[in-house]
Amino acid sequence: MRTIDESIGHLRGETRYIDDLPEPKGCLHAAVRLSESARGRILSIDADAALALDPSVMVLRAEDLPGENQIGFTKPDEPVLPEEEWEYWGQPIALVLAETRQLARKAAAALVVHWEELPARIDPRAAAAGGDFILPSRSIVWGDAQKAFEDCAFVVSGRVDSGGQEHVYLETQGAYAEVRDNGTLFLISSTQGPTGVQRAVARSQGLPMNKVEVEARRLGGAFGGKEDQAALWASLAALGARASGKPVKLYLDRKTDFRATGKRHPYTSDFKIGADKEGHILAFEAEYFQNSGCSCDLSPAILARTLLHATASYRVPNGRVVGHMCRTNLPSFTAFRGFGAPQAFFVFEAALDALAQAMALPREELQGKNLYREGDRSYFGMPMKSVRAEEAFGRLKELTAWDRLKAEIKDFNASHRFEKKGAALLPVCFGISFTKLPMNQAGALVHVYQDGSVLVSTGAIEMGQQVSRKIRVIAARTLGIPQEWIRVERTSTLTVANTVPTAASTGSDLNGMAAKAACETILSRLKTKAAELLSSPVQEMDIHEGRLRRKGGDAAIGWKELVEAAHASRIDLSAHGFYATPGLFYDMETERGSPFAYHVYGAACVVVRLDVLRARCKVESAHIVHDSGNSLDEKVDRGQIEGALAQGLGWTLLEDLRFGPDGRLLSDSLSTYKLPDISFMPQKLVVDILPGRENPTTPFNSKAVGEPPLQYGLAAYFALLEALRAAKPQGETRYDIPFIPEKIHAFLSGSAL
Amino acid sequence: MLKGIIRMKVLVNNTWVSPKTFSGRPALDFIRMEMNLRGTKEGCREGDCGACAVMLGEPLPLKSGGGTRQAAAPGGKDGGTGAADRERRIWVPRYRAVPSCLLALGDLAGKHLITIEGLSSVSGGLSPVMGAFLEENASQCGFCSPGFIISLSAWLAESEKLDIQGALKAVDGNLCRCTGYGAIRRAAERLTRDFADLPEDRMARLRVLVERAVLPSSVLDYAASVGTPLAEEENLAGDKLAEARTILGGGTDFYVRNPEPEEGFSPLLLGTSRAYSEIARVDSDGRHWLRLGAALRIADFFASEAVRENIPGIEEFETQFASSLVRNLATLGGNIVNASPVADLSAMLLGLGAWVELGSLSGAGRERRRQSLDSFFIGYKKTAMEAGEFVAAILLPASSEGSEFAGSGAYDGEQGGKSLTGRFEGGIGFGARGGRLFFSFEKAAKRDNLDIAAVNTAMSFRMDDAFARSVRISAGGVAEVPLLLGKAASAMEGSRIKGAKAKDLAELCRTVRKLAEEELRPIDDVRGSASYRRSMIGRLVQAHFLRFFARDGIAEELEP
Repeated sequence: MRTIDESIGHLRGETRYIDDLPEPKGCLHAAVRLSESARGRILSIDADAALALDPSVMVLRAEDLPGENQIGFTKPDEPVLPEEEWEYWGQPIALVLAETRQLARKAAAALVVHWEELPARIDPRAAAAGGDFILPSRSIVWGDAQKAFEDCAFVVSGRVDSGGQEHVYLETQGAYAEVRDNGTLFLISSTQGPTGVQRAVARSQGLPMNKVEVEARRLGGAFGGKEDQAALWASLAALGARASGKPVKLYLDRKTDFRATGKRHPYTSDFKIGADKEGHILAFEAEYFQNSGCSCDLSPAILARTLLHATASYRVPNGRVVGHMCRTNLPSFTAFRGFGAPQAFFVFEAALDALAQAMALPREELQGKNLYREGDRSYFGMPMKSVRAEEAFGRLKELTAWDRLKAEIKDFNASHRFEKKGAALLPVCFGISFTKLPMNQAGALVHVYQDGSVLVSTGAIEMGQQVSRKIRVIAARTLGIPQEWIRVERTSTLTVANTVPTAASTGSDLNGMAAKAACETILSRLKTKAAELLSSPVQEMDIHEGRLRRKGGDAAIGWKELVEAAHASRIDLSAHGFYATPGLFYDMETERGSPFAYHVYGAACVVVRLDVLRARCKVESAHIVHDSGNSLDEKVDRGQIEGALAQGLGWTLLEDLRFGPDGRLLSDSLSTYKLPDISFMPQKLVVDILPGRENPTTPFNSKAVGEPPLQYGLAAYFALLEALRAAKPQGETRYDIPFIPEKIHAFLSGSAL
Repeated sequence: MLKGIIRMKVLVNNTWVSPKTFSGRPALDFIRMEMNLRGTKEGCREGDCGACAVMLGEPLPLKSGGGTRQAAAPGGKDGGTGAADRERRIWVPRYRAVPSCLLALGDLAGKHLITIEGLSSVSGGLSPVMGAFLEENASQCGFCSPGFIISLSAWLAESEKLDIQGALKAVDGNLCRCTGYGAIRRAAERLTRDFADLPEDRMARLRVLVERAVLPSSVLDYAASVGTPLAEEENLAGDKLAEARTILGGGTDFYVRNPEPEEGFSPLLLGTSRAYSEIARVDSDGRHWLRLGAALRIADFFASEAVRENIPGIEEFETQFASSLVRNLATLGGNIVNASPVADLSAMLLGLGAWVELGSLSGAGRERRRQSLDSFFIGYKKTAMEAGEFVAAILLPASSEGSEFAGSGAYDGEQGGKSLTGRFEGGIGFGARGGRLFFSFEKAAKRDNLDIAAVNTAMSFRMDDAFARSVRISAGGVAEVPLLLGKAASAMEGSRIKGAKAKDLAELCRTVRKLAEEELRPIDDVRGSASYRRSMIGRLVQAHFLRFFARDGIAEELEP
């Protein structure tokens, strides 16, 4: 038995993603025809020219679905294919099958769509003014903000905008579907949530869930983009397979993926913040206009996370935050790492900056004064425990020699006219758990085979976050055997049912705990058998490196031997494990509760260098102090921290998702939508992991790591702001990201955008 | 016979293959669909992600060294030219990483294609490059990993400098969305340490890399087979079919616009023809020119000693043009022939006073017409090229002084010292050739590397005695064609430069900047608004001045 590190296959080019799997004979390829305006009514679709291309061409539309034409579960507003009206530019309106992918795409392009334009709405504030919301707005009110503002020595207000963000998972969306015996459907989906795909396919195909099997092998990146939004492509592949009776593969080209799929929600928000003379924040108000796009998707859960991170890492005694899900004729915006929290962090940190400007105080002084402390309660009533905000912030200041750094930057700026530097700190306090409470559960299935090797299946999808590696560590530690004896298998609805998507940073927490429970069940059976063999009391049995012995005793029995003996004694060597995060509650009526299992803390310092003449900037360095709990694998956590930082920096400074006034996506390819490359990232990147502490709801006191570090990217925006102000003290501040070179230019030249 | 299939052979990893598909098919599809090698990934189909990178080996005449300048063949140390010399050439393979989505299958004729499977076949386990990635945990979802491994393996085979900056440059066309590049950088640093002692001699290095399991042994088999050039050269003038066929340089622009060309598409591939890839010094009317074959790869353009000597400092601007992967494939002619208003090479070449040499497909004989580049661009993506014409070469004014021509580039000068015949048409004159050449290029884009410019500009002049002569300022992205800013340049023409006061130079800068801004006619689009573009050209023109006159204290006299 020897370890198979998942990365080895990647590096050798052997890992098979959906498009790499061998296609069975007769497999058809699918392509979609997309809508060509933000809103329109289909009058007719003429398929003659498409069908004339080749006898294998098939064109399918909404009426060909055997089940319900609906995959929206929170709200029925997501048809698989529109029957009459499309709701955004780039929406699939017909499915085309053919023998080759190229032919399918050609046939899709050959469809003649007769349609009429309908009025469309692109601007979320206009949607709000017109009362066009996905679901009713939500607000959290605490203390007495109105009265508190009267007591404030300083009150400022302003507007904050943050743009959308395309996931750019390198593997685009796709699915493979095949009809098997007795009319069951088998699908391979590039999804973070196989159960969600199974449920959507079952509904649109009019089948019970037990006749739909969904497998998710591994994904070439996802970042939230393949959470709910994988369901559409799987449903289309299923439609094709059932209609044609042949296997069908649907794999999107990059442009189609760009146009048809959802991205991070753009937000536009208003804030008001007030503090006393010393800079203690007394009150905060915010109104968030979430640009939800054309359908519900995950918007309510994302808005919930915004509202639950409204004050970022800070204590605020009075306030009121309101969130609107504004319906627009754009692709349905969806989950993206951070899930509404980065937008909230940006609003609060911008408000803090505006306050610091008004008070003529350094931002970091206001930050330091108002950080959460042990014993605080959050504004929604959650007791804050094991708070590490000040610890991380203080450690970061030491690590960067903050006072000296600021002095050096001041000197640099005094002696350089064409270049300016800026530095900023950004603390993070991020709540872990799905904001939708029922989702905080997971299952696992563990088999110990007769030769002693172990197979673990969970609901955790491997998409690059290396959750498989973490689960292997958890299983190895629980069973007391070497990692090399364990293999973590892909997720299938056959092995683990009713899984929640691998999302909200909870993948290793929830699935790891479920795997741990299953391993413990099997281990306890084996210990009983070992106790019998060694004639010792079972409670005194101990396992270490694959050998069971009585504590302190010499006599031992090896794992393999024990497994064989257990099997011969007809002991069950398989177990299902289940976990539900304890202690979570939230009352939607009062908007009070404890919705998170715990918080992750950290802080980042970013230095940027501004080229004043050329109106562009470079991120010089990033220092991060991060709380990973007792890390299950430091290399994996470091990879997550660095990767999240890159996406955060991209969102803040570079990634320019732009729609035209007509709702067409203008940045619809990698030549127009730029994301961080290796030269964009700072040369100096220091990650300092805080020593672990107790954290009872996770495997071995670890902590979730996926999303919290994304917020660190915001430090770059504030660092740039410092540099810009050094270049032009009277420049007009715009809290508007991504802060691309054109905005730098506008700040410096005082011109409008 | 099926349409578009040509007779060719390509060494795919360790097997010679005769493709049964059309020559204009993107190599990516040939690799994934025909060869069923699925380790090469499709990420974007426009050369912007590097997931489809492959290594391409091709014969290189050792003596003149296109990339590794110190390479010297035993018994061929001088830089002599001429047909007789060709026979004495020693050929070695050179390996470079290219994006297979933008590569025409026909471009593989006689070459050695190495995919990730080729690299992983070396040992049952991991090559040292893969091992460095494993050690640093530099692969997360894994989709981009084969591309990175390819780029860095080619870098070990090809790079002059095995330092971290070189390694980062080698992967500047590879995107990773998971790692944030920290671990990839650490893996690259590990490689610079582990491979610090690679021999400089190309062949010796390939042997070491095979020994150390970085490259497959088929590299040595290929080296043994390239004793004579394998690729058949196409004679464009004699090709009866030529007129009806699309002509491609590297394909890096064509395949972005035509990601899935029609079945049977079989372009004329200028890049496969050595005759169109040469650099030579030629004379005409007593003037000296550097004649650059239209199919010269951009990477070879920047690596060429002849180019570097004639345009001091040009190599500084290399990384602003696309990415390493694209530069290894894109050609000089291909970058200008579509008259894109923001093509970086167009801006550079306009700023250098370049001419284009047009060949004729239908015309009998070798009649060549020459047109100044500024008169070549006549409208949005329109050129003065007539039906049946193609860009055969670019002519750059060469210094009448300067150092001796070294005969470098992809291939050495067959026409060295020969005089050039043909017509020169249009343009604003040839300009002075004496004195030291000053050159600068600036670009505004969202990202420093591999990004299409919002605007770009180049500027050059010669300092003859103490005066600025042949001043040229170009601007891209501010009109329907790349512009030559005549008024701004004339304002500087003849100005005293040497010994001028900083105050006067600053005043000159302000005048030129103001005139430059007035000559533009920009529009709004996704890469920038009109006002941003106009203002940026002004700022970048000032940046030219700051670069030229940094030592004269001009910065003190100017506002940022």
